[in-house]
Amino acid sequence: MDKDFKVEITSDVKKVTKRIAFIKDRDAARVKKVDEDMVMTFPNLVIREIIAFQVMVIVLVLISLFVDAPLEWIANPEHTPNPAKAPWYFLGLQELLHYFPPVVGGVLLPSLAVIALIVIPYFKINLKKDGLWKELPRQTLTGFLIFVGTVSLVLLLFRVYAMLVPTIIVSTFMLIPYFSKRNNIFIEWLGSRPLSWWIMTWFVIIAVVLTTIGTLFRGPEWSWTWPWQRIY
Amino acid sequence: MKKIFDRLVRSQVWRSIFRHGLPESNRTRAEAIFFNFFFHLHPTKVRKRSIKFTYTWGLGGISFGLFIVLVITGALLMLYYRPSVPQAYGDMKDLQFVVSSGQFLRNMHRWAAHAMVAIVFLHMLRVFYTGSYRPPKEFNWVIGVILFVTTILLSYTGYLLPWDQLSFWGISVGTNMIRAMPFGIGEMISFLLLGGNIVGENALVRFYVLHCFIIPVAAILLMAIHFWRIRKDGGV
Amino acid sequence: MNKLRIYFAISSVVFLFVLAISPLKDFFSEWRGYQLAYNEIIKELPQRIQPVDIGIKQLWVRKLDVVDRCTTCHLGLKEKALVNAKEPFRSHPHIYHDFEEFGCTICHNGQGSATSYKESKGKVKYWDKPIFPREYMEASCGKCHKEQVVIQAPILSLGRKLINEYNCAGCHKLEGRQRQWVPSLNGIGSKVNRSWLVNWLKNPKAYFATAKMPNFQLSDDEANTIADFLMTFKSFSNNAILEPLPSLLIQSSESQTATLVEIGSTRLRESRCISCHPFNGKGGYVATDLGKVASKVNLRWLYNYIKNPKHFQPNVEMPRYRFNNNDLTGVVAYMNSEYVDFDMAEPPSHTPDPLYYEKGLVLVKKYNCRGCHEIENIKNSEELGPDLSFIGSKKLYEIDFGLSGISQSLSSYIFTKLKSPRTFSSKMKMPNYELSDEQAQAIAVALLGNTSEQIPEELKIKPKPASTFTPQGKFGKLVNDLACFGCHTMFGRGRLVATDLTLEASMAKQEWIDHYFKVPYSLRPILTERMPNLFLSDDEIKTLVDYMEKVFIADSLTNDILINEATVAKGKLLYSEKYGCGSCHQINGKGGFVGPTLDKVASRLQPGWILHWLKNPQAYKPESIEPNNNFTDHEAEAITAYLMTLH
Repeated sequence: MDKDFKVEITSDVKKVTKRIAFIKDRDAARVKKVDEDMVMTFPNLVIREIIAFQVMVIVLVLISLFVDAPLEWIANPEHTPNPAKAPWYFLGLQELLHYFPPVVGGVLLPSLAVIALIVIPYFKINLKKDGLWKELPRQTLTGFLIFVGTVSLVLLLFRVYAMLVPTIIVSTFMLIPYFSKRNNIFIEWLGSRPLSWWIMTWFVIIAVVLTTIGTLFRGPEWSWTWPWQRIY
Repeated sequence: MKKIFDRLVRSQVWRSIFRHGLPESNRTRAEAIFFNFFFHLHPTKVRKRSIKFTYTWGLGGISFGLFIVLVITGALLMLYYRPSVPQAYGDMKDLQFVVSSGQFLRNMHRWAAHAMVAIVFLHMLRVFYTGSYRPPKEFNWVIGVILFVTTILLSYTGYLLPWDQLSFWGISVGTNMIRAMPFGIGEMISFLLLGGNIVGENALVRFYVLHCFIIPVAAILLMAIHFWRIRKDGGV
Repeated sequence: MNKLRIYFAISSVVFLFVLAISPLKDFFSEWRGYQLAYNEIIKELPQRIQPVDIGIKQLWVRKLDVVDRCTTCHLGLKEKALVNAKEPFRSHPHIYHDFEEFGCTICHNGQGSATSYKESKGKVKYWDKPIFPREYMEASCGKCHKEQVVIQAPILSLGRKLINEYNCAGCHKLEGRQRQWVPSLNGIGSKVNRSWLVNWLKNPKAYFATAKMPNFQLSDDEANTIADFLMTFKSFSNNAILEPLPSLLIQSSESQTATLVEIGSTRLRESRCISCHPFNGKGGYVATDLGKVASKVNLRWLYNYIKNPKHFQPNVEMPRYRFNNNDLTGVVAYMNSEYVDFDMAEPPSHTPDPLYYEKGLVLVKKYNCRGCHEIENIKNSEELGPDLSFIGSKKLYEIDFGLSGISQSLSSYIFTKLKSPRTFSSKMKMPNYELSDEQAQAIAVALLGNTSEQIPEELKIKPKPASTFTPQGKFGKLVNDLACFGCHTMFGRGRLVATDLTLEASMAKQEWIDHYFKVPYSLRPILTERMPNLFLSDDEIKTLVDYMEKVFIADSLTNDILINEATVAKGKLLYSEKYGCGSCHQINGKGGFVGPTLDKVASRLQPGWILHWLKNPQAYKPESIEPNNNFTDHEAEAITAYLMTLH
């Protein structure tokens, strides 16, 4: 009786534990997924983790040795410093409050941002890996222009140039692959970015710009102040 | 020398602590992971791709490392701190002037806290750009976002504790933002948070308890789930 | 793999290294160096001084809830041998408080919790109580000592006195300071001449140098408008009306005038106006300078005012002299001829602004004239200036130094503000008091002591509550009419220009008091302030003396003294030999000038008083400089007996 199967034994003992596969002749042997290279967690991962931790602590210790944590005057409820600033990670928000009414800037927009972050994995557009203009480019363009137009108009209305400028820049980059005649690696790369990538990038840029402005460029009465003009 | 070491390793005490031999073979190496409480969340083997530094930049791990540093320095700082007015501020001065390495401890805690907010944010960006939120890891992404918010809350509640002008007005500005929420919800939340209508001693005690117990416990729980799910979804 | 191990090795070594060196920073602290240096220095001294154990030292003052670590480096504070050592080891000069009981920062300020030089001096950005400069140190006494005069703190006491004198409480809220009496402006239009008023408004000190009214730095226009406005206030309070001048004053021949002036000159001297009023800078300090008064007020007002001061200024502390009409006319005539300002500049002619009343009212309100002067129909604008009750705790970050360029400290801010009030902003309204450096510094010291620091009540020394002694009946009326409280104190009320009368009847003999009212003289001829002759009637004197004999007396001070030759002789010996009383007191033209003359002391003083006084002078007059000689009872009695022979 002929064997109607083959036996394969992988021999690279160091990489993979021994595995025997029975492949019947009737099946067309087809590799669906390539076995990835595996390594032992100990020591490969563990040592990397320890190095990362040690380097982090070293950097932290050096900073702590030479830069003291700030401690100002004792709290005085009767004297508001000008400007009164929240911790740096809220200064983007405080900057928003400067432009929008409190309900919008302080409640609506930040809540929307957090909710949007949470629901990312549950929306189809976020799961698509295709470039923005791959399917139905014309309809996409119309929708895109309407959305960007509305947002820009609102921002212009409230004079939020700090958000308007990044919005326009990001939109321009989004449009380049659509209109561009030439093709090079950069444009191709831009074209392959999915919508979710663009939205996130837009969000991050705005968050960074607002936080930077709030932290470094705001002085008394929240007026525009260059970092080197600040008295304190 | 080697003899002594060998005897030590073979002694009953050693073997009762480490239930495996020296990690010299793949078997003992694997045992070193799954017989170890601290490492057992890890698989015994990992993909070579996923331990490549430039894939994850180690941001999640560093965030966790910072958390550990914060817990240690924070616990030490608690020894010298009283959440009352005006003692809180005086304790900051005592840390600076008389506690051995007190200023150093406080610096470590402060800078690690700022770094953690930034690094957790970067970690979130990395996860997004590598598409690691895709099914089946979508819920872990949600936990991650909640952990990010928790990190900010931890940092924010700690910001009040030195009781200086910076912290007082930082918190006042922040709670005024909350107060902008409509239908009186904002007022309610801010009242609950501050234990009053203004930032005062009640607020200090509440922020202290939140900062030192409630939020850290929540964060540890969430982190445990976060890590466990990473493992279950085939990560490290 | 090997590379990874090398990285691991390197990072582990660096990791251990940084963790090991981080505590070292603490070890190389500044104070450790000072303590080691101290131990070296004391080794070279001849005296044996305990070396210090290395470590942070602190003073914990429980009652003030203060921890001061200054003694970590200031190690020799208690060592007398280190009186000339270099800082920080020098010993502390002798003061009235033990620093171990009160700590350092309660007096010196600075940052007590700090353990490094810069931080402890508090001259760092985020500490708002930098160490006090030496010249402002007495401000700290004022934190606890709230009484008007703190004997050991002369600068502070001077400052508090000046604050009262310049009536700072007129515009500023100041705890424990009441507004002073300042002449009412009602009827000013019938009192002064307009040219004088304009000059006065422009620069009060030009009229006389000790004028208390500050310079508001008014423009010519402002001064003229205010003058025009004030000249409209012609009627006095209580509907008082000026009587016409006696005809003799208006139309008299030269010889008549000369006689009048002659009489006036004598009466003026007898009335001892100079006890209260200076004349061109010479004389008392209680009242206003009269050297140029004839150029300031009109004759009719002067005549009426001297006749009955309280009629026109109800609360003025000026006695109503019992002049007869002729004498009064003479006094006014004399003043009119003598006290004229020959150099008074006539202000340039001026056409009144048609809206002068409205504009004047605005200016009067703007500069808060009402803060000091009563003006009819103008409501008091309460404390126009900032509250100064806690000025000493003002934070540096609350101060706008403007472009003044002075050193950034509270003391220099207050000093500069007092010296030139409009330095920090020309919009400020505070007038210029033209204070000397010494005065400005004293006021700054007094103000800096007004802090909001939590001082336990039992440590505070509070001012005695103001006395409410108000004599009634005939005596009460006379006391008011003669403004006795203007110079004398009775039961805690009044000034101390002259003696405290509270125990007068226990002290002086009735016959002497009686006689003194008729012909006052000075017990200490060198003093300017002497009892004026008020030209009282016999009835009035009887009222006064009767009341005093009943009220101004303490039974505990009535002792009879056995006077016999032996004790007198012994007393005389004690007086002249043992205690040398003659170095201050005079008897029969021999002796010093410091104390009062003791000739005829037996006719003046009660024996019981002398006895008690000798035993403890300060018990009856705290500011007395007579030494307490700790006489035995026997000695005191002997001296008293001797003095009682001097009739």
